Amino acid sequence: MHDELIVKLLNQRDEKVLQTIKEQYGALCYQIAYRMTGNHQEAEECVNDMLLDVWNSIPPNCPNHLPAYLAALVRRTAINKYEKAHRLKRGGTQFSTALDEISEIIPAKEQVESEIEQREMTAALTAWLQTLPPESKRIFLQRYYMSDSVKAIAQKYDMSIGAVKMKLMRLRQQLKDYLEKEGLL
Amino acid sequence: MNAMDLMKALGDIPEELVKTCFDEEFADNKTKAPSDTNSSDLPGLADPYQPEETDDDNNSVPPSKIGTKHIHFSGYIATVAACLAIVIGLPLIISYFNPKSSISPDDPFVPTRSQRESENPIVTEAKETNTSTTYTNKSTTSLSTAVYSTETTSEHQTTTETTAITTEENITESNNETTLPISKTESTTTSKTTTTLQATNTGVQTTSTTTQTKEESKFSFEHEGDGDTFTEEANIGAEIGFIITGLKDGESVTYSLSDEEVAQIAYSDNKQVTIFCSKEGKTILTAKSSDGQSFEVIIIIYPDPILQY
Repeated sequence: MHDELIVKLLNQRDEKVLQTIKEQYGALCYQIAYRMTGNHQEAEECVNDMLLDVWNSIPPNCPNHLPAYLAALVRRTAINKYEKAHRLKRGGTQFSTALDEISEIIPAKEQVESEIEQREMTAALTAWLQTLPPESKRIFLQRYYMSDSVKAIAQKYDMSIGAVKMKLMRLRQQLKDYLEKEGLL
Repeated sequence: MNAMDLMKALGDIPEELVKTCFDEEFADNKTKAPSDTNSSDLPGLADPYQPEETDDDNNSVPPSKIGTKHIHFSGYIATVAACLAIVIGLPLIISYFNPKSSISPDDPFVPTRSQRESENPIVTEAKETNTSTTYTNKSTTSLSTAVYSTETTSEHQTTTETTAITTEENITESNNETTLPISKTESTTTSKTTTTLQATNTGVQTTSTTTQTKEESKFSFEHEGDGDTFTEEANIGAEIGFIITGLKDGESVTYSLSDEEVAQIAYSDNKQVTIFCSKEGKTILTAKSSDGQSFEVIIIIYPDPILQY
């Protein structure tokens, strides 16, 4: 099914389209979630949460590129799960859990600041990515957006693993220089 | 701002940028019907229920790289083989073209050739012994047999000295003298050995002469002009001069020509002889000293190319 038709059916609130999305892009979303969480169950939960987010966000949103939109949703979900899992691993006490529950309704001042910083960071990242050559951009996003493995990237772009690692290292250094220049680091 | 914040910020970049990641993976997928698609066979995606391979598995090679690596490996093998061939083959080639190079002349533990010969004379005498055995059997026969053995010797010499062969054949045809091969002692070392053995066949007196020839200065002539040592070539009307060398004090020399119609002795004394070439043909100049030494020179006279026309 074409993406335009999926979006159209979502706008029409056709629930069957969720199954179509799962069949068509479930594997992609699952892979992204699994790479980030490292857990099959959590990855499946991420995919289901992503489908719920899609149902809730379309409409009003109208993505131009549905796979990228789905990847962003599942990625965000996976990051939240990752943070939650690590927070539990660090503390794991009832107090820390209660604190997390309270922080959901009372965002701290720092959180507001961090959101502002995050938007600035997003803008800087976008600007920086647009300066990159297409291949470097793809490799960077495959690694740090899709959380793809170096080996898979090497296979996909017909490069050696060492070359991919070297490329990523240079890109990271370029990003660091750029962010320092922008005053974000 | 930490790494997690940066990763979150990366998740909010515009779809157009992320789209580049999916263009390749979903280029063909968009045309597929939903019923045809399966979560496990999407392009570029593995079975979601199969754990991914980690980056630690660096030893494995991507399938698209296998061919390349195979080629590189083949090239590596070819390079190693070429190096081995050079390392092994080069000394062999060098030793083939320069056998002495295999033994360093500066090596104090390797004796020189002269040292080896002086310490072990059997090495140099072995050939003589072997050859003399061959001709001793024939020396018991008649004089003709001895001459025959001389001819055999000349055949043996074909491997060493062509001039000696010519000389001996001519002499055998003309004079049948068994002392003729003695002259070949002046040509090469191989000829000397052979001549000594032939002298053994023909008589004791000749043997002693040969020994004397070896030890003392050679009775011969100073060779000049074209041709090899014992062959002189000239045109009709030319005069050929030979300066005699190796003659002892008080000794005299007598000269003779095998064919005096072809050439004549224009002048001669104990130091030189001049031959006048009068006719086309071949003659042999024999110089014999009073102490028994002798040498022969083949004189080949060609027609004057000017007179031919």
